[in-house]
Amino acid sequence: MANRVLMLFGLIACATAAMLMASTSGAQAPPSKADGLEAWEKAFEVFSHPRCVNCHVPEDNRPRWSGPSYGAKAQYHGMNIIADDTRKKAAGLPCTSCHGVSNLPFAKGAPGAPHWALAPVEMVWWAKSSRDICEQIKDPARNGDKSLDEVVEHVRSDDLVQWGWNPGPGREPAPYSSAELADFLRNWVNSGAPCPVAG
Amino acid sequence: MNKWSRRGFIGAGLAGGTALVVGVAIRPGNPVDRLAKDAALEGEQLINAWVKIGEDNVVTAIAPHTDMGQGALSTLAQMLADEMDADWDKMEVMSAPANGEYVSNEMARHFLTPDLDVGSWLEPTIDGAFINLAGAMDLYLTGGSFSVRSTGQKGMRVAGAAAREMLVGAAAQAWDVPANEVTTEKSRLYHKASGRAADYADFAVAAAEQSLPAKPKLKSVDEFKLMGTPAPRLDIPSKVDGTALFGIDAEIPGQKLSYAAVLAPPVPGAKIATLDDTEARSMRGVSNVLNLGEFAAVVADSYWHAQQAANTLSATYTQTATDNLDQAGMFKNFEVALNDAGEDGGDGLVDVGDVRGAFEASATKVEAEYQVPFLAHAAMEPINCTVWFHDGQAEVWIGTQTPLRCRTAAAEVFDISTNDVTVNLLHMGGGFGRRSDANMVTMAARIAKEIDAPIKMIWSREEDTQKAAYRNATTSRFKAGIDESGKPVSWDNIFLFHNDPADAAFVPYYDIDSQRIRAVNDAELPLPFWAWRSVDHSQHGFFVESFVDEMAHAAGKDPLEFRMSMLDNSPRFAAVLKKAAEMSNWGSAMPANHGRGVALVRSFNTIVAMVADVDMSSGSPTVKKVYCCADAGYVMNPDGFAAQMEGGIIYGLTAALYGEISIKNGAVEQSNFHDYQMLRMYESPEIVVEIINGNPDDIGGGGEPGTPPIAPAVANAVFNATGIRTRKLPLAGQSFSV
Amino acid sequence: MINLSINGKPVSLDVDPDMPILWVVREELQMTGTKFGCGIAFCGACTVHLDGQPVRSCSTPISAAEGLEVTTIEGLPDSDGKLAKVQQAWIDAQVPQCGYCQSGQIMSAAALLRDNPDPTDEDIDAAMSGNICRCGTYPRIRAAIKAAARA
Repeated sequence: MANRVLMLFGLIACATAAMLMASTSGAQAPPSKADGLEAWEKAFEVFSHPRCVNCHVPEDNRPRWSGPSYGAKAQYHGMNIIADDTRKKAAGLPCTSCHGVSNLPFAKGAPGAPHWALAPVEMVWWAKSSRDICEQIKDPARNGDKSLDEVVEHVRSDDLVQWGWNPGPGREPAPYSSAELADFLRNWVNSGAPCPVAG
Repeated sequence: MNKWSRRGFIGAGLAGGTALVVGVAIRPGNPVDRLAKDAALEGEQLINAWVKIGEDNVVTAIAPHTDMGQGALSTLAQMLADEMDADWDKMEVMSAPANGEYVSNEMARHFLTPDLDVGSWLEPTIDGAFINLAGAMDLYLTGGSFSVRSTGQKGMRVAGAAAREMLVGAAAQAWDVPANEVTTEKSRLYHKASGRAADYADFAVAAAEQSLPAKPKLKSVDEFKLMGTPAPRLDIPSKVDGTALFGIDAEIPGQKLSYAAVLAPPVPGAKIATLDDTEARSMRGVSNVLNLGEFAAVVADSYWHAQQAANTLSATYTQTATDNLDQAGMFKNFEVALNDAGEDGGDGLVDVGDVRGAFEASATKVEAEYQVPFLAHAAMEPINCTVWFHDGQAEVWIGTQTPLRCRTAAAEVFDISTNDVTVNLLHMGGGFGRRSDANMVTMAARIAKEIDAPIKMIWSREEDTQKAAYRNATTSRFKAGIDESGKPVSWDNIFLFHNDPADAAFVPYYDIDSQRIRAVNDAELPLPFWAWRSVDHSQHGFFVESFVDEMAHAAGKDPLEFRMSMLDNSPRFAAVLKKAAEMSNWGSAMPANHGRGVALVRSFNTIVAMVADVDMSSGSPTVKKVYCCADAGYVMNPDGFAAQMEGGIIYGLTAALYGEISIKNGAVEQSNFHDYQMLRMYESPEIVVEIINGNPDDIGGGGEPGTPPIAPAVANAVFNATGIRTRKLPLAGQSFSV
Repeated sequence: MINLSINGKPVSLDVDPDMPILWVVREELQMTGTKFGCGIAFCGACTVHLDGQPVRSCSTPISAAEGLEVTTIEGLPDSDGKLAKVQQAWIDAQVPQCGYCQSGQIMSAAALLRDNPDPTDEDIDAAMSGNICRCGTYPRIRAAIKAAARA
């Protein structure tokens, strides 16, 4: 509990700093909608990557094993891992039984990061289109009640999000970097956060 | 160290401080005085070489076997206890010491020569029993589902009956009553007429002075009190509270252990050419890095430190002939070897009737080729061994199927007599054949020899998976002819690599007039072979029973009826198959995408039929339920036997669905449970076991016969559901979409 | 120094903070009921409880246990040494064969029963599929968990 309070506190502090930064650089002309869509598509490359979608799964509460390190065919997480509605455990088996706060230092060793868990069910990205994810991220009811500035800061600083670029040996990291993703989103937000019409 | 309780560990080196003072004259012929120092603690009396009684009236059976976890030791104790009328609640069992008098030449010579075949006339006698037990002791190998049917039947029962007669004789003498008026029950002696009663312990010393009865009377089946009952296993309490000690748990009181992690070359036969250990040597806790040619070892103050450092070793290896071989190339070589054998080559194993003539004349011809990959044993306890060399003596702590081979291995490394080696036997965290090897003792001893300290060597799971010895990959080809009526007339089989049991591919029980079976052994096997649960039956069960299914399909017959039609002269086989069919409600309708498959295999003298219900809805097999009927002649512990069928099925199903050790550039590709996948709880089928006691005079094994039939039963069920015949294992990864 | 409690007893350990709980418990504390199986959290043989929650001790550094309570198989019986219900159920169902994986199986089952006193087959499949048994005792583990739930 104490950890969570600290984390939230950190998030707010960072978000405030980010807003200050945004306002000081606000002298420039805002990016166009086309620039924003282009930036969004880069962000979508990240969000649709196996490092993200494997845990942003639908109501079946089943983490996936997909991506180059798992072969051609997407699978469910081995060992019949099916979370309950907390998305943090099955009865008697928390995610953290195997997933500690850091990666095991060898290929196929269980990956780890702080507060390892499935993303909340309303944030499903698995098999979702660019437009679907875009709409979801803009919807406070489905994004953890965050402003878009807070979303930007979340991808820049959250420990579990950072894991996507540091997934441990044998796993392909998400594309770009945490900072680049935050920049894409910043540009997207500054352009009015447009969502693609389709796809 | 109070954790070295009687229940906690299974065997006894018991070097020092445990000698029993035997101040009694022992009849010449009963060597208990010399054996006691190896097998008896203070306050315990050996009655004969294979049973002792404690002051607390606990009876301990001493068996010339270890236990891989299948409960054979407990069943052996059950057989001895029944004949002895011992109280099961106060019964213990231990593995006979692998040192001292128990394995000395004197013991063997005393009981005549262990190589002597015991004539059936001699078996029911005490001499016959002791020859058998001493013979088993001389081999001291646990495997082949051998313990109960041989050691138990021919040795432990007689030893127990003899002990009972000796106790009765001693009591009769002391009470001055006729021996035939003394009765026994639950480790107590009674003389009803005079109202006298005593514990076995009260007469243990006097009993040991009695003559060994020449031919102790064994119970008939209707007199059994413990045999044939589900007596709870003696070792289980220690396996639910963490007190059972396995090889990896070895500690040496008063000694600080060093720990070794090892790195062996990835390709068998290679040696380490160069070793860069710079980083390893600088790591915390590391005291030594050894390049021993065949392998490297890092020695540290903890296994964790040793393994972390071993992970940083960078080695190059000498070249071998298989450095460029991969899985496809290996099977290609197998093809070539079988092709080279042609129509008449190979070693003839069975040749009955005119196979070629019958085949040519047959109305329907069926031909098929099957293949299976290498399999690792993957016991849960990684390979390990603890060795301490001091004062010209070697001590070994290990869980092993072969204590004497371990003794020899240590003696060879230290260049000492086997009499100067003590092997302390601990529980095995799974054996499945793997622990009938003693190479791990050689390795640990070589490390111990270099560092002059007690050493515990532990292999990582990766070493255990990649640098082991394996069930061999192999290919088998069949041709069969069926006449117009659908009756099979010829059976022609040629396969690679003939190991054990010699008759694993034989089908004498199937009524086919012409049968020919040949083996080709001169193909190159790129990984070392080692016996794997059920040995050659593990592959031939799949080959033979899949092919029989193909024959049934070609003949247009139901696979169960087709088999039945070939069993007119094998009534026990027919009864087992019929029972399995009834259990499974064979022939009843199945849900969509479900299939039902049957298989019938005799191995280790036990006949087992299985029917598997398989769901193919997901495109790959989900085994829902397995019906298993077995006839092992007479089952000593039905619950333990059922557990072995369950375990054998799950072991075999794991291999059928997932088991594949493949090679790339001569090295094993898989490394740990993520890529050498095991069946887990959610995939484990419901299993129903029925037992037929078909012939109490012809007992079969329990540990292995559950494994061979499951792969063909499942593959046949897949065919039943999809119409797709698979001739390869494993099933996972194959496409079964219709 | 790392301070924690093992089976109710406080301990201070001068060990490498990265060393997994498994090796600390086995080699430093000579409590060998907890087993090494795979080293990568794929088999469950090393399962212990950390503040009541199951963890794979082969992959959990001892530093993660600072200030917390570690429970191993040796700590499952009550203070009088009476076996936990789940352990007794294991004996009654004659579950173990080789026994090597069973400490981990029992610790996983104990965690399941604490979280869900009346688990269905699906609950058992979800909670217990991280624990491998090579002897194939799964049917009996399932039966024992159900029996312990009823006890």
